[in-house]
Amino acid sequence: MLPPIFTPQLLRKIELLKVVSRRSFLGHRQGGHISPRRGHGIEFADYRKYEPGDNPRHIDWNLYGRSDRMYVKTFQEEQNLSVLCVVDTTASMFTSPGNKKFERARDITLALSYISLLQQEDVLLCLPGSCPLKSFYGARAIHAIAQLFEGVASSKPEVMRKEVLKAITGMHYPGVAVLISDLLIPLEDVRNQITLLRSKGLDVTVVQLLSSGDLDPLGGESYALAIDSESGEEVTVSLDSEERRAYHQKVMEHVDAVAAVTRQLGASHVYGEVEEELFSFLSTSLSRSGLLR
Amino acid sequence: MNSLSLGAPYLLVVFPLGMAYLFYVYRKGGKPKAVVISSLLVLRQFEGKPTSRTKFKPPLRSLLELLFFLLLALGSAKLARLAEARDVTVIVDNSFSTKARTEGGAPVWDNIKTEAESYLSSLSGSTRIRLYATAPTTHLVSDDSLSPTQARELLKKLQSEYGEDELELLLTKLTQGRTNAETIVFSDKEMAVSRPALSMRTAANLPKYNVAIVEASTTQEKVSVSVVMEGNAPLKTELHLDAIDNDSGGARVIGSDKRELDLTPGAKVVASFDLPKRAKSAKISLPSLPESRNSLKEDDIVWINTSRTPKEITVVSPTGGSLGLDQIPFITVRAKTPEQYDPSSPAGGYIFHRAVPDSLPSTPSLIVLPPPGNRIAPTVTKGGEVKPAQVTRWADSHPITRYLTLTSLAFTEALPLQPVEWSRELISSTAGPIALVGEPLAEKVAVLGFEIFPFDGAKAPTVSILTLNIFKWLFDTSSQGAGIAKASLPLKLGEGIESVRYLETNEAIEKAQDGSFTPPQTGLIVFKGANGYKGQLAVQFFSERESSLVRDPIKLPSLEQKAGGSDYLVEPLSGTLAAIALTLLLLDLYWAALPLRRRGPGSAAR
Repeated sequence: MLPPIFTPQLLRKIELLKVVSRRSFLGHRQGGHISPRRGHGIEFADYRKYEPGDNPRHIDWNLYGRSDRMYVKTFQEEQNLSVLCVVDTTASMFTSPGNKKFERARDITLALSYISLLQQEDVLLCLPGSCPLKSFYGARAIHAIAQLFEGVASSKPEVMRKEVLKAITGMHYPGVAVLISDLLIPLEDVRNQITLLRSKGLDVTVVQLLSSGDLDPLGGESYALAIDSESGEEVTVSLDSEERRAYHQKVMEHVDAVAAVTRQLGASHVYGEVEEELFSFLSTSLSRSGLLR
Repeated sequence: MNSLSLGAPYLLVVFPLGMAYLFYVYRKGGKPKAVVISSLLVLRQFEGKPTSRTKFKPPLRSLLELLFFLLLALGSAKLARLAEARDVTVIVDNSFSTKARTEGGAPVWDNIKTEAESYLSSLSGSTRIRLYATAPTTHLVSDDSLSPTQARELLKKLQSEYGEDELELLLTKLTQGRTNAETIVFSDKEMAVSRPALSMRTAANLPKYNVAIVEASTTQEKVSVSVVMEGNAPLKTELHLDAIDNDSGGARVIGSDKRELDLTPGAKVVASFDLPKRAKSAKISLPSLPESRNSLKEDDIVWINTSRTPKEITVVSPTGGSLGLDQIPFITVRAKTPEQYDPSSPAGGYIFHRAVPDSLPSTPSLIVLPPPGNRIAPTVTKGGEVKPAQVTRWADSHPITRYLTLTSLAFTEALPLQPVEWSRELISSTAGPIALVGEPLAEKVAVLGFEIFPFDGAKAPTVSILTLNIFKWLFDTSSQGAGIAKASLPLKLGEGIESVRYLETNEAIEKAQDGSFTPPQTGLIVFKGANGYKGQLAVQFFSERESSLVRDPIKLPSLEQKAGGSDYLVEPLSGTLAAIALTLLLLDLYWAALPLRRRGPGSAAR
């Protein structure tokens, strides 16, 4: 059962979007994406010398007439695309009031999955700690995907690293990978995660989701004992209004740094806030990144 | 009924101070509200202590800490129970007369002890008891206040002693001291009680039959003996005398005599004996008394010592007279005027009466009324003014004034004395110090600012006893080789005495560490030093007063009950309370000292 946010109106709007990749990937069934494989497509690819056994229909008779040599036309095959969605399930995704950050990650994943499934793409979902890797095909599978999100519990960072590695190892056909996380981790860890995904040759898009709680962690408190949701570390902090602004600035600097690292590693970076409207985010931010069109 | 109070309430100031401290600590640095955040990655850069808190919500721990502070303050302030404020002085008469046997054959002392124990058992545990015994001398059995249980334990150890009681004296002294204490006397004597806080328990079942030799004296080969009987019927008995010569080594009886006595109840019968010339001592006894007439056997025998070694005292007085001192036995007085005084001539001691030598002699000296402006001790006199003086205080513990009560002693003329370096005040009066004692040049010196001469014995009893005490202390008249000692009391016989034995039984008396001997019973003791025979002493343990079982009742002046004294009994709870509170507080401070930052995964509250 899809979450209530997915109203028929929103679904109709989402249906108009399409997942694209910045380069071609091999698929295992016919689809809408140009594959590096030469075959029976529409798009002309090249000429090659005729060899016995080639289909005579593919001989370019005009060229034969001009050059008295037989050449065969080759076409780029159109195949489906594997779309891997990796959703961060560490505790930091659950700390926002009402688990809004994880909910938004779920909604984005469902939206991408819906778009992909409609295009006959393979959708692979990795929810560390709950679902290491599962493949879905066909539009009806969206409900199964939605069901997987129910009852997801937080996992430890090391579990996430392990299961992401398992997921990419289990991918037979590389394709597009979308990592949805707050990435409030050291840059080195960010680099490691993206490198891991890139090692499979995936077209990686990093969606960095933050909530208002990440930008103003103490809420109404000026003095609090801040407890790290993942490590349990405690820090006594006191923030006045100026320091709050400074903190906000620091977080945005971290987002910029993550974006720089992502680009450096040949991946796309999309920054989003939980409070942003979903379709707007899909049609604007993700389209701008080249993941959707 | 008891109620709670505080022994040191000012210590309660700790509580508000502690409260203020806690408030300050929590205001400034109390544990803040815990907020779980996604990551400390950025926030760690903003870590720091706050300068203040806008809101103060005291945590539960602060309330506990306040409780600890309160307990600690209460404990430190000595939580005390207002006691019943009952102080009881228990006087137990264990003097010689309590050895008298009752008709049942048991000593009177047993009755007294049983009654006293029964009384102590009836007291509540918080009662503070001061326990006095009257023999061998009147003394406080324990310096501390006792609980009834402790008093009972000490009472069990008390025995009837060979000594006189001084109940009147003791009660008078107690009257001058703490007055809020109840006093109860357990005695075989009767007492007319006129003090509201004083009660008397007289041992019952005491037979009034006793025959006693109450007096024996010797003068020039004559012995005079007084015998008294108490009872309800006349009695005939014999009085024996054995004359003893022990000069030529070994004691032997050199003559015996006896007298028939017709005794009537309450009447004193005097008998005389001739004493052989060679007799050095004599034993006088009542050997054939019927048991039913003789409640105290110990007063049926008296020893007399006839040998005398007089001590020569030189009296230096402007009058050149002996000041009546020749009445005192065992003292030979030589009288001189100040002009005749020659410090080089040997003397056992000096009495300077209204005269002072140029330098103190190397013998014990008594200076009575030193003339103003004298050279030897110019500071002794203070202006030389003679004033009327009423005694206000005296040194209780000094041998001269011990057991003396000088409260009513007043002098129409007394010379206030200025204490000097070597002196200590013996008697103080409204006019200032009037008696000083000291030991300059290792010799005892007493200076009196009032007249005690001429010595005329019983005319002024207090002064006479005081005079004799001074003589005893200065000139050691009790250990001059002759005299009468009391049984059970330590006897100092001076240096060089090697052994002391009873003449009759040759039983040795052990020497105590302080060099004194305590003869346990009556008899004639001989003591020997390094150079052979030194002297002998008759040891008695009774007096006429103690042998008389029918006595005049003791009468004490009435006294108004005064409030006062300590009303607090500090409970052990105070210490326990303080200890518990302190322990808890230290634990709490330990917890507080743990850093607020705890590192390590999995410890966060989510």
